Amino acid sequence: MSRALLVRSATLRCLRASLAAQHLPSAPLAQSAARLQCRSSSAGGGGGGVAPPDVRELARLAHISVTDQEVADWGSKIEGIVEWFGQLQQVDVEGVPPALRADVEAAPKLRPDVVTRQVAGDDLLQQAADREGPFVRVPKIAIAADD
Amino acid sequence: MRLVIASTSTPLQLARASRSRSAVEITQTYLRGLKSVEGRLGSFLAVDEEGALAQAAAIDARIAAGEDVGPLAGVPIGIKDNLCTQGLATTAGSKQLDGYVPPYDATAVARLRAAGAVLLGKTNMDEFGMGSSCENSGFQPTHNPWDPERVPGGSSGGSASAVAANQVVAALGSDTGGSIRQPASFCGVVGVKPTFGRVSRNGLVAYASSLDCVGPMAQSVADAAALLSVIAGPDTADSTCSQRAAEDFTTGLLPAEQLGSTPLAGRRLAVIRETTGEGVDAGVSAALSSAIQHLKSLGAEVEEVSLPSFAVGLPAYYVIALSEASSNLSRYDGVRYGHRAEADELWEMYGKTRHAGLGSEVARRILMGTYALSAGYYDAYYKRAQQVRTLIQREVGAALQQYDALLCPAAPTPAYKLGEKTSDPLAMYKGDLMTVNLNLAGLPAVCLPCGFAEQPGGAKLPVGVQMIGRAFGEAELLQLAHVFEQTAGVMAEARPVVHAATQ
Repeated sequence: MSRALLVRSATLRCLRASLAAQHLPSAPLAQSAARLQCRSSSAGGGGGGVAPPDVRELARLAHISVTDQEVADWGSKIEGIVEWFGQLQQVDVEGVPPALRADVEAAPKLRPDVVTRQVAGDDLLQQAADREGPFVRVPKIAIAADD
Repeated sequence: MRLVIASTSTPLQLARASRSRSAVEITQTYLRGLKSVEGRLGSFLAVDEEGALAQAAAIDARIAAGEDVGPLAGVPIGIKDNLCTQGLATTAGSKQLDGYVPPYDATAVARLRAAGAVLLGKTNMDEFGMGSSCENSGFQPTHNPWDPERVPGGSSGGSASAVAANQVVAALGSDTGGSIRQPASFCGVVGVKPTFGRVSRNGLVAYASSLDCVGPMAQSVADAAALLSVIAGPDTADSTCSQRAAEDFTTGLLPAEQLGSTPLAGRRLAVIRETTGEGVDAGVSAALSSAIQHLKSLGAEVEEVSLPSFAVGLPAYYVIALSEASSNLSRYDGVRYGHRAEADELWEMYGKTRHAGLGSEVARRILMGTYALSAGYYDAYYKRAQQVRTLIQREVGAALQQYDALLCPAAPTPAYKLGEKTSDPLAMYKGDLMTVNLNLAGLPAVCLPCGFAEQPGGAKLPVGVQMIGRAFGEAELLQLAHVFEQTAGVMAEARPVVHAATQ
């Protein structure tokens, strides 16, 4: 049911591909294949041929673990909002330069080109959960088979 | 002796009038009042009683020694919890930073301290500034002093309710998409979003770095001007902070008696056409109309101006803000500070830490920002939104060449009930329509009370009017707002249901 929610804006072919992927032994590869098919056939998201958001994939990129319930719940909310972003496609922006920032004044004056040294004090690391002298200890990096 | 907290008194006048009372006495009075109503409001995430009394005692000692103690000496202030306060927990409304104690003060906070202000505590907010009602706080909701079943607005909802209820005289907030102005409107107080770069962002927990502004919230325009004068000015610790010299924004603010009959003669103002009519609550429209009539009676010319790109500014804002947020919030990994989850492996630690520490709305916004910045989608979303941003800057800029200031409401409705919009995030985003374009353009805006919207049952909810000025034009803008406030008397007879007396 949750998978159907995720792909609801895609084509039927896409849906079948996704459902088929669930039954294949090497699940991640199959899911990628299904995603590739979806990408070419779906017209969801902001138009211009971009695929709708894949909550699990985005969560992986953003390093936020998600539960199945959250994927189901957030998926429809995120899709709705991204679809709403789509109205930007209706605006004529031909020849309009992108604004990086609020253009409230000319570029600020630069400071003098001299080296200044600011040492990060020990106080900045005082809150670290696990310290050893000048080091902060974290769990090891392991390369998982399906990463 | 009663402390007189009329809406017309500036903190300086307050301090002087109460010189017969010590800073410690004033602080004790305000702490008592704060606590007496805090159970109904939930404005604060932390109240620093000990620290406040120590600050007050230090001021009394310096006054006794004949020292100059600064323009805000003894004035009780609240600080939004996304501004770092040295030695005092700063959470930005998030469980991810629960218990985080910064080793330094934000520049704006340091400047308030140096001016003698007494910091009573940290006010509640939507987590990392993401929200318009304070319901996205990781800890507690805040209640509107005018009707505790309603939201105070957000994300600076705690600061707005604390000021409206007189738990503090004034407070600092931050505004990325309206987070000072909309709660000011919902709570019937004055809120100022300065020009981007007017106030240093050093020590402000970043949400969207090209949009975030720190600003004052107060019970009067003069008080807000006094605070802004203290916190504004160059700061080498923030490279986006303007190097324009600090100004005293209170000097142009004349008392009501000195204003004359048409103090706004020659001023050309314009209402933004796209913010009137359909989609705007009748009570809000009526309050805006009466504000326009009043401005005309003061001698101003008030016309209408159309900003055709106005509506599309809202999705453009959200694409930009969420994209920048997805980058800014990647620092919350549990390594050097903040919550850290147990895990055997590093990437698992990141995932579990962020899942536990960040609320759902924050997580969704990060995911949407990640999507908009993904390879292949950048042109369709982020770049396009930046192009729309250019269009909006041009349109608003052109309007402000024709007119001295623009007018519009701060929100399409007065304060709504807690829980009313929490199930549909998009509905809540749409409430930001009136405010986000000014963040995209970086322009200053003041929101101040202009009337009330009557509810069935007779309750009156405050409505604010936004006055929008030219870049770095805060002096003229505050002067305009001050004249309106002093002559319109909107808050003269009105008081919120929940209000801390200061006997």
